[in-house]
Amino acid sequence: MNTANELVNIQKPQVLKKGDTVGLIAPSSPQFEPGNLQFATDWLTKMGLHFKLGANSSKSYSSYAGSDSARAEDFHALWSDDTITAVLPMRGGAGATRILPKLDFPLFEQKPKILVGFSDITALLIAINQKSNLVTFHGPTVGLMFETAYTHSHYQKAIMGISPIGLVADPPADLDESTDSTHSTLPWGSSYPPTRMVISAGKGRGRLTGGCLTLIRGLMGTPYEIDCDDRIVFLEDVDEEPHNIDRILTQMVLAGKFDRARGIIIGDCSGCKPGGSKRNVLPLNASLEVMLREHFSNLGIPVIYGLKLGHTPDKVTLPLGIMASLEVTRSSTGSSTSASTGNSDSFSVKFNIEEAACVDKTQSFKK
Amino acid sequence: MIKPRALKSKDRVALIAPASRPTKPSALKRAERIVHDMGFVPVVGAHALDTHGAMAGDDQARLSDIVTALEDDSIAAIWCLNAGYGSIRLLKDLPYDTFAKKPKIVIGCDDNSHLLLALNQKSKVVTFHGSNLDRIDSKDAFDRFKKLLTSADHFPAMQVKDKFLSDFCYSPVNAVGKGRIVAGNLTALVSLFGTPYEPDLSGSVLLLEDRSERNDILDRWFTTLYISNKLSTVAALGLGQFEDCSTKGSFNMLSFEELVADRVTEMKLATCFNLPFGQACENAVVPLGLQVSFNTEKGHLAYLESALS
Repeated sequence: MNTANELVNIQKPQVLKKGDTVGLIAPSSPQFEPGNLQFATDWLTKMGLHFKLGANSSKSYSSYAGSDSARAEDFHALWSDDTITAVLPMRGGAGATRILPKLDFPLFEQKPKILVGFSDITALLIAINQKSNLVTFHGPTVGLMFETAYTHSHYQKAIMGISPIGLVADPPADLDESTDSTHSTLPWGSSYPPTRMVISAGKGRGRLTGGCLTLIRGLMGTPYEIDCDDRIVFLEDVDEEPHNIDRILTQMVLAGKFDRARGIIIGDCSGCKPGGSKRNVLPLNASLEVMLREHFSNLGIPVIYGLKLGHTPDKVTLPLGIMASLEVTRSSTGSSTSASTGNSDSFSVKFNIEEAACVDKTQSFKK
Repeated sequence: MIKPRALKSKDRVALIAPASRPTKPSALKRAERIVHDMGFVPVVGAHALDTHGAMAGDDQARLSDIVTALEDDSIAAIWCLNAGYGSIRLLKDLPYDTFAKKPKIVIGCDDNSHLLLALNQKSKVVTFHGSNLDRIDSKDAFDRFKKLLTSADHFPAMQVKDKFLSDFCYSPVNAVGKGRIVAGNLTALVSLFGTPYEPDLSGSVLLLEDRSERNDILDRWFTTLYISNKLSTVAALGLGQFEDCSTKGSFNMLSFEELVADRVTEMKLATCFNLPFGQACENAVVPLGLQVSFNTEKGHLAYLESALS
């Protein structure tokens, strides 16, 4: 497993540009219908990109897109192809973890490419980030990168840019830099959780890691187990009972995963409320917020809950292995447009991705 | 492996809820009656009916009930009232040394599997995978549990039974595996992975069960066992009862049997399905930590030593 020092030399992939070719794969579950693929490829065309499709990507075995060997084969074939800049899973679902023992990790290190996905793809993002020492991207699968303008702008910034990614804003602030509070794009009404509910204040700086909790749990006790030391850790899940999330968090606590973490960002976790899974429902179950406060209020590191990442239409693209900082400070002004809180205190929350996640090797002397 | 002593008439048995609380007061009264009718004296944990979300009180309350029962020399056994969620939260504070010095029967299943596995691993005391008290609902089970817990004889062999074909057993890999038995809930076992309470699976005969879960989720946790490289160190694998587990309305899933079989076949790991191991009371009581011999072709698992002293 990597230490923080080794990560200083982490590789960034070549930036994706107009005219480039991307490889489309199905390492987990297959596309729902052939028509779903067409939406994605139409968008790729609009973005000026060409694509190649994995040879086995329309196969199926149980809820997986073909056998483990077939899925691993496609992954290797497209990753080996020198005309391809980015390998983009079309969908998560289930099955990525099954192919890990079949993967050629030195290949990913020798030919660094962009890999973007979330949910089940978390298994690949963490394993390749750690075993191939390569920046990987927690963001929309190719079929979801055009779900909202917020999602698309963060996606482009992360994989099609070479400037530092910078402060992460909330939707729709990203679309509208106007300070006019009557601007029509501002949302009205309320939703839960707020994007920056403060579980614990503090300041932390570290390289990013994280993903979907169910997948992180599936890697515990294996050679691909998540390394949270000196990292800012982002976590999310969807449609799970709060106690199922609590079981995973307790496992991670017992394994010492948060002992040396520098900050924790819990995503929106849509549907993770009592009864949300429609299976394993327990009477009197507490909310996820209660459990997060029990586990994370007193770790001495900044912890926030509600950021749009993962299973929400709005999702920020987060590069694993890139340096970031999280600053949660009590706000002296008493109110702040950039902070929402879970109690009567007012906080300022700054989440800054300090570096660019990609490099442009075609521009010499620029890193 | 340290063996607790068998129970005697009038022994005091602690009834506790390390996970969720009993769903209703009658569930607790009924459990007391069952233990009483077996000839023991039920001692209900002080916090059994507490509430803290879905749990029977906060961690301190639930911990206090189990620690009190473990430390009290007048308590001869601990029987879990029911499952739910929460026992994993107690593991870091359990008195493992006390349990090794004062071994006693601890019995339960489902979420309480976390306790059984951790106590067995850390204290080297035999613990018992058997129905929680809320699942005891037949005269046959009542008589069998009472007999097993009050005798130092070898437990009877476990045998796969089909309702119609008396000698039918589905075994993708036929072989005889010998080793120390590790048995538990698949979700709970994987929840201990990467923690100091993770059971040592090397050379073990591993038995797995689960309840109310979807096939692809079961496959996730089985995949963790597989990619951890620990499954390949197991002497033999027995799949028990996966009660109320199915595709749960998903239309595109194979059976859990097939998802397990494709990998154990490739690994040539001795495996059979449908062992009478699970949460319902018609299943066997399985003592963790004993040496066993498991013939997967015949679906026959025999104990090479006694469970109780």
